[in-house]
Amino acid sequence: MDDKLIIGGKEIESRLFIGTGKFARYDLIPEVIRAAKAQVVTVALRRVDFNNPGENMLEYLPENVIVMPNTSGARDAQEAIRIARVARAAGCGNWVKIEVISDQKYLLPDNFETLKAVEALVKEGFTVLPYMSPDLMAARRMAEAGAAAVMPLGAPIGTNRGLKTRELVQILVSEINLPVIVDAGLGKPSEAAEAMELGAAAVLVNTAIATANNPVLMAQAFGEAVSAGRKAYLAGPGTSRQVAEASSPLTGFLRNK
Amino acid sequence: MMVKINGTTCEIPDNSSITGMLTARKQPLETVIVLLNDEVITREKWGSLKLSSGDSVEVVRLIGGG
Repeated sequence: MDDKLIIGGKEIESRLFIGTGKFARYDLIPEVIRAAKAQVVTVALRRVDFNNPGENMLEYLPENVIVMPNTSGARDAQEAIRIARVARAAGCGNWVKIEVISDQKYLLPDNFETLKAVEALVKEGFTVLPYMSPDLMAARRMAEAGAAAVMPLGAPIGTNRGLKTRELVQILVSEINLPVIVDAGLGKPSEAAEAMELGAAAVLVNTAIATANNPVLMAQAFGEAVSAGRKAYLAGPGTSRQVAEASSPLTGFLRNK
Repeated sequence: MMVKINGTTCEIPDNSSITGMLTARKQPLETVIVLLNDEVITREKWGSLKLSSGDSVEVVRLIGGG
C-alpha cells in the first residue's frame, strides 16, 4: 500500500520516530533503530564536560537516518534559534525539533515562544517540527508560520502515561492540514497504536524504549504497534455501540421455540 | 590571557589556537563543535585562528536526546 509520510519534501517510510536520550549505552541505539525500522531520530546539543569526555553520538547513527536535533535546554525563542543554528552548522542538516521549556516540573512546552522560533527558523530554511501543547489555535499559527508538522505531547515528557491529551490531539488531526506527530509521554506500544488509530501521522518515542528492560525488543514492539495502528486508521474502524449486535444471524436457529 | 570557556573564566597561554586549547583539555577534536563569540568556527580554521583575551568560547557536542 502506498502510504508515504512526506515531511519537508522527504518521503518517510517509518512512522515511528526515535529519541536517543536515556539509553544505558550508545551502542544500543543502532540496534534500536534497526529493530524499530526508524528513519527519523532526535539528538540534543550540550556543552562538553571537560572532565568527562563523551563519545560522538553521530558515529552510532546509521547513515540513512534523518537526524533531527532538538532545542532542549532552550527557555525562550532566542535560545532555541541559537541551538538550531549551531546544530545545523555542526552538520545535522535542516531538520529541527523546536522545544522551548521554562516549566521545570511538568516540562510543558511554551507555545508562545515556540511559535516565535518557528517563524524565525522557517525563514532561515529549516524544516521545523515544533513540540507543543495540543492547542488548536497555536497549532494553526504554527502551520501558518510554515511548520512542517506539529508535535503535540501525549503526556509530560518521560512519564510513560500514555495519550492523556487524546481529545485535543483528535481535534488537531481533524483541523490541522499538517502531519500531527504525537511526541512525549507514550509509555506502551498500545498507546502508540491508539495515537495512530486516531489519525496521528507518526509518534516520537524515547523514554519508553530507552528505559525498558530490553530496549531493542521494545523498539520492535513499538514499530509493530505503530504500523498496526496506521493500518487500522486507513482501514476505518467500525462504529462503536452501547448495546450488543449479534455477529451471527438471528435466524435459522436449531431449536423448536 | 583570560578567556571564557563554556561559561567558566580560565587562563590559557597567549596566542593559543582553538586546536591548542582543545588539545590542552584532552578533547578528541573530531567530536566537538566550537563557537567563538557566538559564531560557529569551521574545523579548518581551528589551527590558524588565535584566541584573544576576553573571548568567549563554547565547546559543544551532540548527545542522545529526545
